[in-house]
Amino acid sequence: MLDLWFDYKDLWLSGLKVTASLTLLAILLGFVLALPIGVARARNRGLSGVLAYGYVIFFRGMPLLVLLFLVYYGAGEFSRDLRSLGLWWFFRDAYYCGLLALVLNTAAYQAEIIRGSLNGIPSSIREANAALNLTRWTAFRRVLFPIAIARALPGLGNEFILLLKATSLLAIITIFDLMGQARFIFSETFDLRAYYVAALHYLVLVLVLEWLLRRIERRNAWAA
Amino acid sequence: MTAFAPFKLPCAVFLTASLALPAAAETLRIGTEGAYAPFNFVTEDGSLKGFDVDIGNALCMQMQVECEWSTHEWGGIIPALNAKKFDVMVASMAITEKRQEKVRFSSPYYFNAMRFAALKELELDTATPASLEGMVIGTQSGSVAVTVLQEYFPENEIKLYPKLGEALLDMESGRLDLVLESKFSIGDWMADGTDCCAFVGEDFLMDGTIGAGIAMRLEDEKLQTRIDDALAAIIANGTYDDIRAKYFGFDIRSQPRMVSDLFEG
Repeated sequence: MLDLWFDYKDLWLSGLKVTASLTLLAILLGFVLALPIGVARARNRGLSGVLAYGYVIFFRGMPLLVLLFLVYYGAGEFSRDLRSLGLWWFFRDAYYCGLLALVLNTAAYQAEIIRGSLNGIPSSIREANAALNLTRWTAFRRVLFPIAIARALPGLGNEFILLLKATSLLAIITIFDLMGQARFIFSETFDLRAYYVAALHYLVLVLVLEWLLRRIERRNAWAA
Repeated sequence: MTAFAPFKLPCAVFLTASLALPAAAETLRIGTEGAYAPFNFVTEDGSLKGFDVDIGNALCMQMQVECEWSTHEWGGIIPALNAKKFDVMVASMAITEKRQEKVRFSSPYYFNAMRFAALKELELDTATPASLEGMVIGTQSGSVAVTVLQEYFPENEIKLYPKLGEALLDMESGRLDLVLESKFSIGDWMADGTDCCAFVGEDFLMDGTIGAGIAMRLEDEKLQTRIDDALAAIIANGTYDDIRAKYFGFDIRSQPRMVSDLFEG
């Protein structure tokens, strides 16, 4: 199997880079999007609650593969309109389309994890905040948010690992991530071991991600 | 265990029924892609049609066996053949040396030349490495066109799609400037009423390919003789030409120019 890796070393390394960058960006951007949605879900009041609920239902209800085709080939159908709106540079690029689909998808799952951990904070802590006369913003920023995130970390870590492996779907919209390179190398060699090599790369990435998550969890253990 | 008992009976009935079938007539399991019009494609009602399918059925008729068709992803079609998911592949596969290491081919049943198609707005009148500088070219992954692009257009950005239709869709939307693939398949798509794109340059064949062949597993030597004999017979008795005329108003068994002749000569 090593020969197959060395013969296509540059391709494997560039695939590794694409998969890692897609995963990292999708995790970060997804988290930024998930945070307000998760908070709105936990409050569950007014228009923001309804919108957040709608978002989660919509994007959790749609398979990532379908979302990917809708974003990529759907945007292709409207290329004329997107061009006149000045958005075509974004939707022309398979990488951006794939990243957008990943972010929309993972944000829905991350928001639900954040909602769960916010709702799980005992009421005694809220009462302590009130007793200390903390403003709602200070209480959220200094007390509730750190506790919620620390409690959400195991769940979020799970979602991040699922997301890492979900990036392999993007190979079908011409992105040369690990899976894309494996498919290409397989079509060149008809050697099924190409997929074993890809699987090993994914395993290494998952292990690195797990190690990172464990470090972050340990640092935040006190908060939970 | 008891919970599953009720399922055993219908299962057993089904098994014996399907085992009884081959006794009536020998079945030939044929695999194809089903996404490569006009050679093999699935119609709206779910049935398999196309030149390859008609040829396959004519071969079965000649060999007096029953055809049983199945479709497979192009990227995994050779492993599927070798894993005995089916026994004979009629899928317009070009015969190349690399593929011959994995499967056995019949003699070629036609020549599937490739040709560039480009967005009309580019106003190209030739397709050479110089005239296509900086352009994005797409094709189907695992196609012989990939090898041609790697060899003669190494400077261009190449995008690979699981299905040819997806590459054509992306040329129509403007993500690709050109697509290189079978002139027949692209021509069939153009005839469907898209006017975004036009052929540029001549058609050509990849060096070392000797036309499209019917593939079998390496060990099936006897089967190859039977297929070759049947192919020769339907060409001799005019069946082949009747089928060809249904799809193409011209000869598809004469050999086009080689790519090296075009870009190096």
